[in-house]
Amino acid sequence: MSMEAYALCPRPLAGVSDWQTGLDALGFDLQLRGTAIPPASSGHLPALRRGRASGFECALIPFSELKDTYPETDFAGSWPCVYAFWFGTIAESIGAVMAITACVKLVDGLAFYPEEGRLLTADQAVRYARETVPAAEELERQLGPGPD
Amino acid sequence: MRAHEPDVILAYSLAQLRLSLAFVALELLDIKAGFRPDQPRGCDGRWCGEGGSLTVIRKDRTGDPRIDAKTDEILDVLNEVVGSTEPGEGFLYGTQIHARLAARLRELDLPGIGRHGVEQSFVAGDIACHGLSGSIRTDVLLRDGRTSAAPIRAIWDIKTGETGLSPRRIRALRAGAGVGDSVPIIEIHLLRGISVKGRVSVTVAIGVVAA
Repeated sequence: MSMEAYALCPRPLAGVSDWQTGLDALGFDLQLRGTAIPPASSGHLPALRRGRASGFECALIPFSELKDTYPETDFAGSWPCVYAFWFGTIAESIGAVMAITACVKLVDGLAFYPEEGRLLTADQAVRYARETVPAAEELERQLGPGPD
Repeated sequence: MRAHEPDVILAYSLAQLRLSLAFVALELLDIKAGFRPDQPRGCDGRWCGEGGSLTVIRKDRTGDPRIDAKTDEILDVLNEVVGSTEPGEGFLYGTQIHARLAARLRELDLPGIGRHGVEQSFVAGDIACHGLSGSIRTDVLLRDGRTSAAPIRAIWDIKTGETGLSPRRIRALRAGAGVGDSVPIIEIHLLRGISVKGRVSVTVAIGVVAA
């Protein structure tokens, strides 16, 4: 099952190590395991959290496509770099929220969660992640970790 | 009078049979509607609390009876999952519905879908391990048989929101699964309702998707 979210950025991330630095700076327990990030790669980006798979699908998409998909949303300007994330399991959802937050914090971008219609600044995204991740972890404890 | 007795007994038996059939039909309607006698009701008699059942507001068909019947089966399972989940909306609710639906579909092991047809990962048309770098994952897919070599007939994408798949995503799913434009991508959207009852819509993408 797939949910989606977006990171709207003024510039692309430099690479895996750049992204990992952002995750570590926020204290997020997520290790990116891919060797490349979009646009050099697309599809599943492996990641580990507490020793378990917590990766997600990620691709670079044109901003025009995001605007076409969500015509009623004001994205506060034009964004040259939009990372799209797809995720399904609870573990993937947690990984994606952490990765999106680190991404927008690094480049001062915006996080977009269409399920909730939320467009968040970098600082708001950090607060959102700090509230959402523990709640999702509690959900994971209740429902089980899901398939590896 | 005694001569008519067998007729009376027969008529009585037939009436009893008809009544039994009517009860069975009623039970089936209740199951189809997602009715549960233990679900709490408000003073106005409406269901309250828990997830309620789904109202289908739109249901596109592919015209293929086997695929359309499978869509109905998936909708029934989604209805069951929503009915047994605390009502809500947003990211955590969506996460919960997706996780529960995937688990339930695997548990049911539906013909043509099986356990592996739920959240199957692919790379360029080949089945891949879940979590493999660069892989694309479909939500639910139907095959023309139980083996992984059987051709894929349809792909379902379940969304907890109104927004549809972008043409790019549809192309990526087809390319990942290694199927052509003739394989329908069927989107099932669980929408936010204004009451405890959810709404659901089904849309179908067949053929070439314009960028």
